[in-house]
Amino acid sequence: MQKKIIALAVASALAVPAVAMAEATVYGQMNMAYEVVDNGANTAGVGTASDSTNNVSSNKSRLGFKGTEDLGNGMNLMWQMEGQVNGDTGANTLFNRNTFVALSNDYGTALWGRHDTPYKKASGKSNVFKDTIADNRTIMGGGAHEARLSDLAAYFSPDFSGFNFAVAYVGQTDNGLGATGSTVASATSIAANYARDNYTISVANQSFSQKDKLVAANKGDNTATKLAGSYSMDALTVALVYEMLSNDIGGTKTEGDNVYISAKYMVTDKGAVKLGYTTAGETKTGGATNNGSGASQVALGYSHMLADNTSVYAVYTSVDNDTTATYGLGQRGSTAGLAAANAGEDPNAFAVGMRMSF
Amino acid sequence: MQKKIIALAIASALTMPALATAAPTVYGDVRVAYEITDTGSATTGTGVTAAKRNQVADNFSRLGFKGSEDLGNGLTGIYQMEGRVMTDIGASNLFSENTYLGLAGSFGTVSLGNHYTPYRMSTRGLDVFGYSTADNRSLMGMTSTGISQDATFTDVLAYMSPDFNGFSFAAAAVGSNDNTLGTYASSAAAELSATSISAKYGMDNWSVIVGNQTITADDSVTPTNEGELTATKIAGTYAMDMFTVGLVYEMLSDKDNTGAKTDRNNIYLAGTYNVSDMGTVKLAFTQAGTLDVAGTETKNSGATQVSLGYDHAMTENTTLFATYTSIANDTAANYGLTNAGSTAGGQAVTADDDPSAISFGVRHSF
Repeated sequence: MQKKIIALAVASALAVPAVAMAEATVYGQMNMAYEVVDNGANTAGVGTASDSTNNVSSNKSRLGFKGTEDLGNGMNLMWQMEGQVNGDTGANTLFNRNTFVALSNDYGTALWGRHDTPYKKASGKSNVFKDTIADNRTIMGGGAHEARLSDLAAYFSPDFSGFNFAVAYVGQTDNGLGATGSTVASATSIAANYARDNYTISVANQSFSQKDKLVAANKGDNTATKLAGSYSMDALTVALVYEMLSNDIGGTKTEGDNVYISAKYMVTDKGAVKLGYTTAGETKTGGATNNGSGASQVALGYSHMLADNTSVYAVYTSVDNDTTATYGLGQRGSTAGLAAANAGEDPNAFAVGMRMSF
Repeated sequence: MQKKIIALAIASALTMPALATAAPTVYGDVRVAYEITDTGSATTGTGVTAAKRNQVADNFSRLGFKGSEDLGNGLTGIYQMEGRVMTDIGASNLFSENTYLGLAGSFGTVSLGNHYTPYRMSTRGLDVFGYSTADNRSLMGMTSTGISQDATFTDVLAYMSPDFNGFSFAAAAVGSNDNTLGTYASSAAAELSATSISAKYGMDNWSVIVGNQTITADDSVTPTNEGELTATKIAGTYAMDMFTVGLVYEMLSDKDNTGAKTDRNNIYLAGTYNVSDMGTVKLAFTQAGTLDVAGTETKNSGATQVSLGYDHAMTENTTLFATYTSIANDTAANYGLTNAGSTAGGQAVTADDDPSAISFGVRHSF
């Protein structure tokens, strides 16, 4: 008894919670690659912008903690804290990935925190080179829309015989959507998805809205709309995404359409050959076409499952920028990328990597 | 059933990973000491620049996550994320230590990540005061440019061989993209790369170790940033009953862009003696030789360091320790106590001054 009292006193002195709930699950992923990259940003021909660099890159390696609690009456609470770990440099951005608390029951899931938007999730699976340097977000999403956002409140519907929908509102304080000075920025994101045995169809719309009573140049909307579909037949899955971008922040409207096509073919039950092709149409500013502003990207790869949670892969990708286009391979999938290439340059990369989930 | 489907739909909506492997192991250590440090300066100074300071110092506490998956055919996938936690100020540097993804098998281990080099790892265990104020890296491995040959490198592709009847070796190539190893080549145009190798032959009570490492800086915009830092070492250990002794001889050669070299040789000699089941007395001596700049000796540029300590193992995982260390700088030398092992180190020292430190601390591994 004496011991117990002392133990309690010590526990309280050290502010250790007396009773723990269900344990938190520690999980994550390591995705590392050796990459030979030409970022097409060769100004001085040296350093990280050099014509060709060899690097070890971290492709969205991550660490997370999550848990659930049964609240009774069919209600469940879920929480998650997940962040990026750059395994190549030992840096981290904990917890910049999906970090939220959510309540769910038969009527769906309500979520608050930092999370992928419904727009991003609507065609995420078609991005067959996700988390590699050949990630399709080099072009898709216009740099802003295929993202996760802070200050997000979302509702995900349950599954109605293959149909589900999701809506999200992104508040104005922390979202980093260009909110400066007198600018107030917010966003809405909606998606509807329909899935059958061998095909899926998604439509989604997302809009960043900026209001500014003092500076008219900061006002406007940055909107994206997409239509996506996938079809599976035996070992082959093909997917198509058509995306329309429109941004009139500052008064002049800039528009562009992007198309992404991907195919994945299981050559064995463990090996998959993947192909991705993206085109960025020529953009229009104020209705006038910007000649030479288009680009296309080709990606070809093979991935092989070694076990349930471990795979190895090889991927090659190349961006063909028209004369004034500056699409860079970016860091959406790999720390080896650079956001922008020099106009007309053609960035390309070859990567051999390994991915392990835990 | 309906519920299950809904649950699955929700899980998928929230991007929960479908299948988890065995839960990762959470591990680490907490190493904290009360330390009295002295830069040896006759000028007292004030505040954080005071010559004499009392402080709680973190001695390289760590937090890590690691695990593996059996891939069949004798192959294992391994991963680790390990970083520093500065327990004295509540800061962290996750995941600055060995953080990698790799494959292990009968051929050895191959890994990609942020990793210690073979050169560093080969004799880190010989430093009987490793990860404390008396860490031997105050003098060992420290090049004339301020870059430590014993630093952690980013962008490392490493190979470690299996044990062949007592013989093993390791090799690493350090890529060029992310390494900004201090002021030597801080230019954005600099490309840094490195190669590192080590080999060890060991029997029951003795071992011989050799290591070599070259750090290369290329810079076509600012050629004065170019250079090549080379380190070579030979080391040995011997254990007998209650005694262990270790010896490291190290040759550092730092070449600048004109080809001019700054050379220095170091010697480290350390011994431990188990005075009881739980108690160990430790003694270490380091000598930094005089600098040889482009063939001319810089007089009085050497230093010696003596460290004396006692470890008391409370359990397998918990040790109390007391350490005293002192560097005797020659008139032209200004070696300070390193912060590679303790946050109490890292204070600048004036030439000819003799820095010292006393530490009382606890180490606990979990």
